[in-house]
Amino acid sequence: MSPEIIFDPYTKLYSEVSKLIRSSEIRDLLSVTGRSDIISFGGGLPYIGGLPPEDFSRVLSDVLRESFTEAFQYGETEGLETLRSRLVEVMAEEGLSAEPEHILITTGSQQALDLIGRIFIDPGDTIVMEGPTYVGALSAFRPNGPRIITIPLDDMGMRVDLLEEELKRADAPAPKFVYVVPNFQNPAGVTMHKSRRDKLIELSDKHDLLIIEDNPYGLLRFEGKPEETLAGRDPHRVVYLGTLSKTVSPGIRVGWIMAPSPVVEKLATLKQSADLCSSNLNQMFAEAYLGQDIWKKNLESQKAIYRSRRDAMLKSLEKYFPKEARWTHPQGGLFIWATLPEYLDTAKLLPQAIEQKVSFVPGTAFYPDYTGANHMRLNFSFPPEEQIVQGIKILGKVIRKEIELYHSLGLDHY
Amino acid sequence: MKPKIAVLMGGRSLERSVSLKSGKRVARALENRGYDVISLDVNETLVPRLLSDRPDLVYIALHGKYGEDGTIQELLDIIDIPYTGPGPLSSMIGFNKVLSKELFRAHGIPTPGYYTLSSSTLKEMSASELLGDAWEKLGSPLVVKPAAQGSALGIRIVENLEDLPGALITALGYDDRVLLEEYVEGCEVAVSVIGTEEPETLPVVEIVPDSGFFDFESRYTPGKTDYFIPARLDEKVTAEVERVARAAHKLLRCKDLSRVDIIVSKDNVPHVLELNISPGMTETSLLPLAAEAAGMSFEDLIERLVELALT
Repeated sequence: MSPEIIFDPYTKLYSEVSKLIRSSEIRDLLSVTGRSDIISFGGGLPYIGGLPPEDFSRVLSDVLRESFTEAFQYGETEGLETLRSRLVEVMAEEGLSAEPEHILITTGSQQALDLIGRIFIDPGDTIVMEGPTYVGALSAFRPNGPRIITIPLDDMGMRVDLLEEELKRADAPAPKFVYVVPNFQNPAGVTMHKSRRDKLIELSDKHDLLIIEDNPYGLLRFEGKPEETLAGRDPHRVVYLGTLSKTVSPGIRVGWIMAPSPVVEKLATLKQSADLCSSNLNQMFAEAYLGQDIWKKNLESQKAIYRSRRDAMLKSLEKYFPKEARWTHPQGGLFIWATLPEYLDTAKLLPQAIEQKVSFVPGTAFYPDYTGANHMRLNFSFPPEEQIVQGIKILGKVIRKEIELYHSLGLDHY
Repeated sequence: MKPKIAVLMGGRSLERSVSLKSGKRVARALENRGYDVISLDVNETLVPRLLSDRPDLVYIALHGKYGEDGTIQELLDIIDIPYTGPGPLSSMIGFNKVLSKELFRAHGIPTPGYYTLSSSTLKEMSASELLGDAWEKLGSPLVVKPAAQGSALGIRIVENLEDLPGALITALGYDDRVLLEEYVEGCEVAVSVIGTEEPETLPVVEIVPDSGFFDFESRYTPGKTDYFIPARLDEKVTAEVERVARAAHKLLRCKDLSRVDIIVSKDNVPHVLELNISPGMTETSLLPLAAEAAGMSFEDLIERLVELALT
């Protein structure tokens, strides 16, 4: 018997990239959050339970009846022409004008991020991201080995002034792209101010930068006036990502990229090797659904639900969180970002919160450099209002107890 | 007709995901052996389900709080359904590192020296002023761990006194009481013990983590830890390790099963770190591995535990 045991006999075969994949305490802890007795502020799920199933079932059976052979066949890598034309109308809702030829359908926005990471990033290349940023973008870009410059956010979005300073530094290599989520950012919930958008476009001209504009939440605005998209300001500088995950359903996995033609072609070639094409059935469903009045009607009712849930969360935070805490006031989207005293590490209070049946995502998950420990992301779209009130009350108590503990150990200062 | 067995798994302990892996694997093994199996993720429907389904036996594949601390065992005693592994008292003591270490110490089973601290002594009695003393007495580095938790969750090795408060906060996230434990350098081994009156040991597993410390990541990331079976100890030391493991198992009156985690110090003394009454049953868990080394397939192992529980 050989004395050494190797659980995974394929260990020697794995690529360097795959070795970056690890078990993590946080991910394991959060696995509890799928249970129905846990109040989950941890996910980022739209509230599908609020949609009328009969609308979906009617559209789906129409598709099956009218387009059976096409729906169950392979499709074009670029995506269905009809859907791309329909998405031009969807983008027009946000004042963006587009041509179907500049659109590539992807299997969710996550595929778009993966493809973008692979066509633009060589190991050691510099890219710019917001701090905090979307965790899925981090995980899509990281395997390509970029050097990530993190530009902090405030209530007006990315601190473009700090980006400018970074770009001015003579020794700094030019970034391949700047990745931003300008509307109701995940995780911070903030929206990039008009002046910042102007400045970002100006910088991209001056420094010959490409901007990746990821806009999953733009149509989930509850109040205030929409800002013009970055792609609308300068289509030649921007690769724009859209998705139906938050406005129709994440289950259909329909996303898209709008980009200048040469970029679309490159991306399409790569997509072909990734999955040949996105599901025809799902694309046909999406096209048919978007072509009917129910789309906007259902979106409006989703927004009304999210809005009152956001209000419930803001009110509860005011009432139950300690006075040292701050949080963002999103005008749309799915998330509120809470900031606790700087010495606190929210990952360390997650087990207690879960013990009390409440979950959230600790801040470090959203920073390329694992800073941001004193923040937490709170999702308000999924839990019902009474759970939001109850959950924030419990979290408030857990945080107060933790502050006392830090105080007793003399750690409540920096 | 083979008995009907309910496999309990998941629950809402912090080790839920590991337990689901253990439970699914156990359920599959039992099905392969022709048992009538019901898989139950523990939630508020548990008691009604057990009352209506009336299994002949419950297989406990739960880890951590509620599953390993005597809670579920007490409940099954009331419903009067036999179950795998030790009863409530052994579970309660095994899960509580303070109680089990005190018993080990009282009965001459070596265990690393330690102090305990609770969040209330820190908050209400300024116990933080004692940290320097504890540091002096236990020597450095030292190990900070929650008094009751499994899977190495919340455990930190502290090399410098100034890192101690931060490690306390991590551990106190998992339990109101924490252990400051002397760090014993040596060979880390796990000994699986099967049986009750005359328990036997499975081959000793030696654990060599890449990082030098068998933490959560090392435990559950294949390739992050090397294992040697049998452990690279000489025959006499191995025998002593096995004797100590059996002694700990019997002292806590463990029925049928336990896994005893031990550090063998440089001078060849086995120090018991803890005793687990519901050891992991995943593909990277130590007990099934030891069984395999003893020529027992996973199915054999599970069936043996079932037979023990039914007799």
